[in-house]
This record gives sequence, C-alpha cells and structure tokens, in this order.
Amino acid sequence: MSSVVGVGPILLFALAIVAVVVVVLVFVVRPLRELAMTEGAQRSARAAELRVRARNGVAILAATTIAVIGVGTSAGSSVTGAGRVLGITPMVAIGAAILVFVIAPTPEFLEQRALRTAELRRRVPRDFVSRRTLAMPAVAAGVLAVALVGFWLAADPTGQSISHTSDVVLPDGGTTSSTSSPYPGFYYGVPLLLALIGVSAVTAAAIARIAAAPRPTDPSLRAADDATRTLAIRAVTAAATSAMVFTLGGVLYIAAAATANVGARYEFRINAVPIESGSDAALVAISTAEFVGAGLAILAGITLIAFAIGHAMRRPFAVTPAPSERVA
Amino acid sequence: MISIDETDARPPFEQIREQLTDQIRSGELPAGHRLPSVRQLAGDLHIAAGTVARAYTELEQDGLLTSTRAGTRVREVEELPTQARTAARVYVAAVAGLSLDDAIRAVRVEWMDAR
Repeated sequence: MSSVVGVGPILLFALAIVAVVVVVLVFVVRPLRELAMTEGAQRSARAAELRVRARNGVAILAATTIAVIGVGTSAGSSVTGAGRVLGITPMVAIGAAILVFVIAPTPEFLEQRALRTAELRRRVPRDFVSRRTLAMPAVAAGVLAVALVGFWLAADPTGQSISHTSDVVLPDGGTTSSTSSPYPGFYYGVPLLLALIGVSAVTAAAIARIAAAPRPTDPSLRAADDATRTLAIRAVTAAATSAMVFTLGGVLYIAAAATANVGARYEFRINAVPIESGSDAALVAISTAEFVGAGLAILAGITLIAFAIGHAMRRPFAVTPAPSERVA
Repeated sequence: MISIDETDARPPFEQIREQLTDQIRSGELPAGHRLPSVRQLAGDLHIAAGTVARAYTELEQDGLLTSTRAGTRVREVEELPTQARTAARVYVAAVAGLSLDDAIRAVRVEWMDAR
C-alpha cells in the first residue's frame, strides 16, 4: 500500500497536467457560439469579451495567489495549525475566485439606442445552464458535509486522532489501544465546515447575480450575452465543485491513512516480552474504501478544475458580419 | 416584453405602467405570473430602480399586481371582453394610416357622442 501511496501523487499530478492542458486546448480552440452581428454590435461584443477576459484573469490570479500563500504558510510543519490552513486552502482559493464573479457578474454590452426592451419575467440560472450543472456543487457540498460530520463523530475527544482498542494475540491475551493522527475530527472539520458554508454562499450569490444582471436590447448582443453567462455559470459551478471534491479527497486520504494505522497488526515489547495486537479486518476494509474514495475524489477534482479553467478561458462567441453587411 | 422609448414624451414610469396594464388586461400576462425584480427590470431598461418601483406600486394600487417577499405577481383581473378586442382589431386594420394617438382620439370622440 505504501508504494501505491508514494507513486499516487506523482501519477495524479501528471494526470492533472494532461487533463488541464487537453480540456483547455479543446475549449479554447472552439468558441461556444458563432454569431452574425452588425458592425456596431460587433464593437460592443468585442469590448464586452475583453472585459470578460479581464474578469476571468483576475479570478484565476486571485485563486492562484491564495493557493500559493496557503500552501506556503502550511509548508513548515512547525507552524501551529498548519494542517488546518492547508485543508481550507482549496475552498478559500476557489471562493476568492468566485467572489470576483459576485463583484463583476457579467460585462455590460454598450448600446446607443433610444428604444430599450426587457423581458417581463424573472431571469434564473436555469435559463442559461442545465439543472445538472446547478446540482453539481450542491451535491458535492452535501457529501462533504456528511463526511466531515461522520469523521467528527468517529474521531477521539481531541478531534485530531482516531483511537482503537484491539485484543492482544500473544502471550497472555488482554487488550491494547492505539491512536493515530492526523484524523479529520472536529479540530480539522470545523474550519472545513466554515469554509464550505462560505464557498457555498459565495457560489450561490455569484450564480444568482450572473443570471439577474442587466441584458442588452439588440437580439444579436443578447445571444452573445447568453453565451457569456452560460460560460460564467459553468466556470463557477465547476470551480466550486472541484474545491469541495478536492477537499473531500484530502479528508478521505487523511482518514484512510489514520484508520489503516490503528487497524493494522503491530508488535511491541514490554519488559522484553513481545506483544502482538490483532489486526481489525473492518478497519482495514474501511481504510481501503477511503483510499479508493480519496483517489476517485481527487481525480474528479482535477477533471473539474480543468473544466473550470476551460470554461473561463473559452471564447463565449465568435462574430461574423450580419448578412446585410456582407460584401458579395 | 416591455420597452422604454427615450423619444416618447411620457415619463418612463408611465410607459411601464401603461404597457403592463395593457398586457395584464389583455391576458398576455396571466394571473400569478411572476414579474422581474425591480432591480432586474431597471437594469435591463437602463433606468433608475425607483422608476420601476413607482410603476409597480401604482399597479398594485390599481389592483393589477400583488407584492410579497417572494416577488411581484399579476393578480386575477377581469380581462378585456373578446368582443371589444375583435372590434378593435377590425378598427386598427381600418385606420392603418393613423397614429395611435389619433386612432384613440377618434374612438374617444365617438364614445362621447354615443353617451
């Protein structure tokens, strides 16, 4: 198991690079929509696209900066609470990026028109993306919250370790207890739950604001505006879900390692008398399941972050001259 | 849809009020229909939120809208009679060259004479 655990991160990192590059390339090459526009509308659309790129750039920069600070702060193991800082880093970093979308939900498409029109119905996120896209972060948040509460209940009273009592095999029977840490009890779980609440709130606010922000009147600009909103909501939901799933993967990995430790057979000596504890099959099975879950969650997190970057970097639309303005 | 014409002499809140009244009374906006929030409509039309709020408030006082914390909805109102709409459609086709103001004026004159 230890060799698998040692190679795992390298494989995951390589997969992450490949996934991000492939998804970003596929997305960047192809714009979401091709739209025919008059010259005036084209100018407005191009200006709006620049503002979208600037917003997305600021969001990616914010997430990267906070991730670097978080990892840097927690790199020294002597720092108090380093594990907690590292644990909340993905959600805080992604939360900062999503906050940029709350502040600048959509770019304004500038128009010079005496007549302005508006729809007489409330715009909702569902108008721009599928129900599945919107459900993703909610489901991920639910699963992560359940996992954190579960580990909280399973941890020992310190909230940082897991304890287990097992029968002694040799020489005279009896019991022995062992403790392993770190384990994601309340000590790590409470900051993670707070970060989860924060990132969920910011995500909900960003999605609602992207949907409700003002729309242009020109029909071709409306289509461009739709594409911009669709990509923005997809980027936000993918990023939020990736942060939650990454955190879930990390939590499962830490729990799996601690559970494997306390569940394993081990030998020690008291007054030169060898004593052997029995292994706990149930704990071994749980830790294996947790390792598998952690791997899957981290893979899903990598895929989702690739999609989030892809949606953020993808061109929402490509413009072509309107039929009336095309030169024969 | 609703529109604001900057070249129209009527103030924006009046334009909103009138168009919403027409759409509600004609049944185009059915009872229970949820209208956009004041902020959303004001943003789309590039007007102040207070202007939309004033139009909504007046329509509430007229009994056409109802506002709760969940938003503003169209109330159950008596629709314009089908017979009147059919006659109006024939009339509009017949006076195709007239402006809306003149067409309404002509109806008003006939209305006053008939009463």
